[in-house]
Amino acid sequence: MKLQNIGLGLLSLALVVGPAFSSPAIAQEDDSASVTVFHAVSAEDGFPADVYLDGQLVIDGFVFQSSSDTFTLPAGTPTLEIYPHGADPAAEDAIVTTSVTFEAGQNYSLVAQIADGSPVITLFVNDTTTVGPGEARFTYRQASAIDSLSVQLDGTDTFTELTPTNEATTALDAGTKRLTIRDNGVAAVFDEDVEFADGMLTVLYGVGDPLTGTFDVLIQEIPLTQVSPLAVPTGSGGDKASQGMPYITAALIVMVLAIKGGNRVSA
Amino acid sequence: MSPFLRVFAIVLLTASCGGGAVAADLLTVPEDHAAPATPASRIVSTATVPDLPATVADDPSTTTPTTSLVPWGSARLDGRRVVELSAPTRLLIDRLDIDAPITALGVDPDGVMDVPKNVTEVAWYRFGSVPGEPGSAVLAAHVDMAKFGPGVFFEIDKLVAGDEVTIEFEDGSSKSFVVSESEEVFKSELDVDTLFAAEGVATVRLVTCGGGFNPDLGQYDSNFIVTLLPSGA
Repeated sequence: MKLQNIGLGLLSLALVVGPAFSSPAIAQEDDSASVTVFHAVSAEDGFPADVYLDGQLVIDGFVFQSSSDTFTLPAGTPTLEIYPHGADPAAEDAIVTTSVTFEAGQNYSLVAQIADGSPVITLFVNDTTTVGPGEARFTYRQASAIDSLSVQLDGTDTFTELTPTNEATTALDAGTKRLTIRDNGVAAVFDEDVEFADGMLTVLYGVGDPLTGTFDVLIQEIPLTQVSPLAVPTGSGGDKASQGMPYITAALIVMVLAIKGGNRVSA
Repeated sequence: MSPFLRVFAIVLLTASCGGGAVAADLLTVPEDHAAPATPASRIVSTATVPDLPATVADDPSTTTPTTSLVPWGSARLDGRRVVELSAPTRLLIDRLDIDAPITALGVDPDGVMDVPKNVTEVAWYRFGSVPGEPGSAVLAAHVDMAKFGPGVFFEIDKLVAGDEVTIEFEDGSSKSFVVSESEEVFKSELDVDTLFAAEGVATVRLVTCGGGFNPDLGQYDSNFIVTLLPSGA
């Protein structure tokens, strides 16, 4: 048993555990919500946990750097509890107990993370609104132990001074970008190419702690509806027109093509 | 011992006795989930924490398998499998002697689909579906251009159901399709969300212009669309 584990435990005792909610977005026409859960509490053993919703076990033995499948829940305000894996909810206290409000038609991510030294559940609303053709959307969520960080894409500051439980979102042209995450805007703790696909919400979660070598980036991708092109303009000659052109002209064109050899049109 | 301390005692104890194992029998483990090799154990040892209940395994509320368990797996960016789909590069329609290069294009600043500035190339809408994949993949080419005359799709209205079409891809592979149906649609009535659908049945749509021509605008009033389905589908 490592001292840092005990430290984490004792530190958690001293602080009241509470939810950190982002403001709910406008509800859509649907009676259920989509929910995905992320485990961002770093520990050497993966901090295995059981997640309960309204007293029912929904995720069993969840470990650090994992996400659940996206599940569909009725709109409402269930009670969310996280227990050490294998604990008996009837006999033990939860590590975190909170109630979360899910509005109909929304897409949520729930992140178990450490903020100010204590475990919290942060509820995020994923922006699933339509994007333009060829456009990507990028959300970064600060679920790591770093006090304040900046996110760069291709060397340009995209988000700055992100503190734990905060998030930021931007639209960008689809493509592969160099993602650099800087601790307090100075040291690069992550520097990799990331593909931002068109018509996709790419959510990245910085998790863990660079000081213990556990910093990592988790990914969530949510397909979005892209605006379709308005039209397909594929003719300006009028040669094929069913009206406004004498048949004799069309016949001549066909004859010319035939003489040229088999109507072959190629590169 | 306070309740909180007890909870964390369990965490630490569980950590030291392999309690991180997943109850694999209760989970649908995703393919990419690196399932721990250790079998599940829900028994919390009381050897060093005598004031805790002996076990939790006897409590039916925690051991009864439930269908509501949500599968989970690694979400690590590094461990992600990126499915790289190969782009279409060439369109071959033997019956019309068409053998044309395909260019990946998007939209122009006006929001309409970008098309080649010549009559020899075919445009693939690169923000849409890939031919053979779910959704409606769009391949568009000029029927004609005032500057160059008839284009590569000048005669696609002659295609009939069952005609074969081959599409070659960047990785050297090719896929066969057959003509399913053709239709002429007024541009004002074109359902672009269906034409460019990102999901649904795998179809390829060859799109060009047709119908009446307005010489003042230099535009046709309709689109001519040939729908292809994968061979054998």
